[in-house]
Amino acid sequence: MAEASSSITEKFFLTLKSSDGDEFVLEESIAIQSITIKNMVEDGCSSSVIPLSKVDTETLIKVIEYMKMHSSTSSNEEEIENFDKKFVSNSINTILNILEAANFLDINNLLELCAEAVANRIKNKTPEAVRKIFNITSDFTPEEEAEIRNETPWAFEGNLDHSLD
Amino acid sequence: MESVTADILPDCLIQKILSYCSFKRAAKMSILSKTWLQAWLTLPNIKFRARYYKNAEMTDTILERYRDNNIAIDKFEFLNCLESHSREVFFSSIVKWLDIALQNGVKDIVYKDPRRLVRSYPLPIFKSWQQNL
Repeated sequence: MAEASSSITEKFFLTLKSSDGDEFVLEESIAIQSITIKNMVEDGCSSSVIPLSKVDTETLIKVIEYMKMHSSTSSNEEEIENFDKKFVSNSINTILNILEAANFLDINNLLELCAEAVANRIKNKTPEAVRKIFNITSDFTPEEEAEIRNETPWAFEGNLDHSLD
Repeated sequence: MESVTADILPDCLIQKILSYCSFKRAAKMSILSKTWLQAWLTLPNIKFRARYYKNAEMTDTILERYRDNNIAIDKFEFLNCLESHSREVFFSSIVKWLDIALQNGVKDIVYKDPRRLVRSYPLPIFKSWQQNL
């Protein structure tokens, strides 16, 4: 709810609504780390509730936690670093949901953080395990798959991890 | 929680993830599905490290593919660790590679030469490119 105000020092608040219908009130100065939200505010589309149809409640809570930590003037660099480390230790599915939300909301730092985290989590896994994580059904024929493996045999050397998180 | 499917993970996010993988690991991901293979084949940030002649040949093959298919290049990075006897090959190729990178919209070119192979190379081409950039 961004309310008209005569005082410059007064804080503005926005209401973000998740795809599950839950509403979160957040200070405007924090929320506009999302370029998508910032553009809506600038276009005057934020006077009521901002519906985020692509972000579920669990993910939105995480995104808000991140934005609060990264905008707070009281958090120092070490605090932020520790927060980020802990943040990327969430389950890989949670990270993927946050990655997509960060893309939709256009929060670049969060997008980079999650992309790097996903890359680190999948780097030593077997293709089969990564497919399960991303819920991918291979659309290669066995012949095509064999051809790729033949072309880049060095890509499939070494011990790989079968776990899904 | 609802799981992510390949259909809703957009190409730009796949490439974002791949950009944090080493070349070998990114190559491995190309076997996941056709979408991932395509994402890998069209990565806009390309980085090469040439130690042997065959690495230079591979760079050449890959860049020709970028040229022939008009694939956008954002960043081109070349780490030159070639032996001095491969100098001639390199000199004839680097002009072509930079040309392809520029044609395909490169914004960032990084060249590293720990052996200082190019120290004795006349560099007017680099100067004229700098002006174009």
